[in-house]
Amino acid sequence: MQLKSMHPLLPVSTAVEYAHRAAVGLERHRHAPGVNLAIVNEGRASLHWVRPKPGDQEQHDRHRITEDAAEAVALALVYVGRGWVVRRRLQRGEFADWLLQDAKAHQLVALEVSGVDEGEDSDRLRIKLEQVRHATIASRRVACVVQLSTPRATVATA
Amino acid sequence: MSIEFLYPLVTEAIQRAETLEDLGAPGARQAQLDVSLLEEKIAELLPASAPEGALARRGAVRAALAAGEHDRARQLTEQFLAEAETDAGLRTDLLNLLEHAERSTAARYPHVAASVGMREVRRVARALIEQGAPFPID
Repeated sequence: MQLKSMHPLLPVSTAVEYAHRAAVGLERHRHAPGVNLAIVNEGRASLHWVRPKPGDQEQHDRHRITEDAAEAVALALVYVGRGWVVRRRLQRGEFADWLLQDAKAHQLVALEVSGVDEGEDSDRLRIKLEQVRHATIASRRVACVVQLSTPRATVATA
Repeated sequence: MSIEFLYPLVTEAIQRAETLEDLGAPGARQAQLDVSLLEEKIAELLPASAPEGALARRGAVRAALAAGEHDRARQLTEQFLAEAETDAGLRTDLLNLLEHAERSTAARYPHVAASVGMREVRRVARALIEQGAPFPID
């Protein structure tokens, strides 16, 4: 994934950290670069990354890895699948994580991202959609839940 | 400064401030003040009538409150409310942020809130700050 080239306004440090943590998060489930990402109701994509060094996993908080890996996958997915690009991060209280731009539709998009390491969490998408529905910054509000063990992503509009 | 310059900076600053807050780190307040300053700079570039301009104004006030800088939050609110392009929605949002902060502070100090009132505490605090000395002992 080349997050910085997809999203020019994403800080370099964020792009590098997200990509690295996505690699660690996916490899802890024994996935290898090129693994298929199932996109619920939309098809499939393949994920590619630079392999982390052995031992990198121990240096990170497990929950943080899951969340940042989900951010990386979600941002790559909305760029490749929909052409949306990052404008900026939103503060807590704005009910979404990211403000994106849909250049084709000349529309702002509020994106809320959530990560699940493994197992089913059927309520997560519903909760995130309910949250992002309150975002007033954009007329289009979207939630993306990424599950790392499969891996699988669901993108839904509120 | 341009939006293209400021947006990556505010993204980075927000992520840093929220990480420090989650850790309960002492630098969290300073990091929130950085966010507030960057949001204020963004607000200077975008009109209040634009969605991203309104976002920056809310952000400047919200982060100032998170930094514990209530005077700054109040001054920014007054400044933004005085702008001709501030609509009723943004006006309500800004006043709600202040009101919510006020209620939170009152809940933390219920005795002071009930006996003196937070408005009076703020007035005395501002007077002490303006006179440039913590205690008026002569």
